[in-house]
Amino acid sequence: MFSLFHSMLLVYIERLANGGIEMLFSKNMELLVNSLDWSANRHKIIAHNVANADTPGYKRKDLTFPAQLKAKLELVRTDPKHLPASSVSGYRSFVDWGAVRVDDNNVDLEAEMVRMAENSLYYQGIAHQLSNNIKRLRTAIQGRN
Amino acid sequence: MRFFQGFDVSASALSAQRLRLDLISSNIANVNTTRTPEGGPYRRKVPVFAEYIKGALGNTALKGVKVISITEDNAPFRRVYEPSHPDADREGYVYYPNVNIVNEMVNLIEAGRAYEANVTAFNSGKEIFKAALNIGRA
Repeated sequence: MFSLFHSMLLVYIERLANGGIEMLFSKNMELLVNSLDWSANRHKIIAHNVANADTPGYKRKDLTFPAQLKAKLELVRTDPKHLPASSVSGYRSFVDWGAVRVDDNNVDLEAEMVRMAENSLYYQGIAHQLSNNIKRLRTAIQGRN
Repeated sequence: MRFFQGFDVSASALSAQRLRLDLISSNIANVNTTRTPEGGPYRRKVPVFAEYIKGALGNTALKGVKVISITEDNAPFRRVYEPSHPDADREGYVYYPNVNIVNEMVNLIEAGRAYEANVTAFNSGKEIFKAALNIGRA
């Protein structure tokens, strides 16, 4: 849902990197922004599951954990002006074919609410970390007052 | 706007559950209605929910849920012996709607809870959005 916002963040980070601050911050921050993107997409999918809790025959969807996020960061870009690969690579959505109810739907509302709360905290945690990184960058630029 | 697509998912479910609540209210209100514009007693109405997605396979946008139709329950009417009723047939039986008030009350509670779950999902999205707005603030 925020993929536009996240790609904007990535562009800013890239500009920082082109300014020579790459070693310190950019890789880490790119990783964080990709995690934000993953989490925002997951939120949308969980909201979709909750929305379809009463739809007969609906099967719940989810995202795989972004285990390859790190590998993704090594992607070679032929032109530094290229936008980094968007949200799809590194993780994918899947349909859960697990146990179903009588109406052929397998959404467990309680489990979805727990996932949603967990995901929301995850997003807020990562956003906090990103803020801290930016704060540290600011300290490096300005020095301590 | 692109940012708010996640909210649309919850909003679609809220209006779907709201419609379901309205239909349940209508069913309960008409539990004894023996005359309708279509003729005959009232038939219980049920919404049909369907997953709402856009785009081709593999590149789908999740849009939540959608009510594709409102169907009428074809279960038989309640047949009650009431010869004095103006709508009684020759044998003195009146056909009452096929609404079971206990079922409707259970559905009412379930729809209310589903509505609340979607409100929670909406609020959770709002928290995420707020966190995103606060990135980089001192």
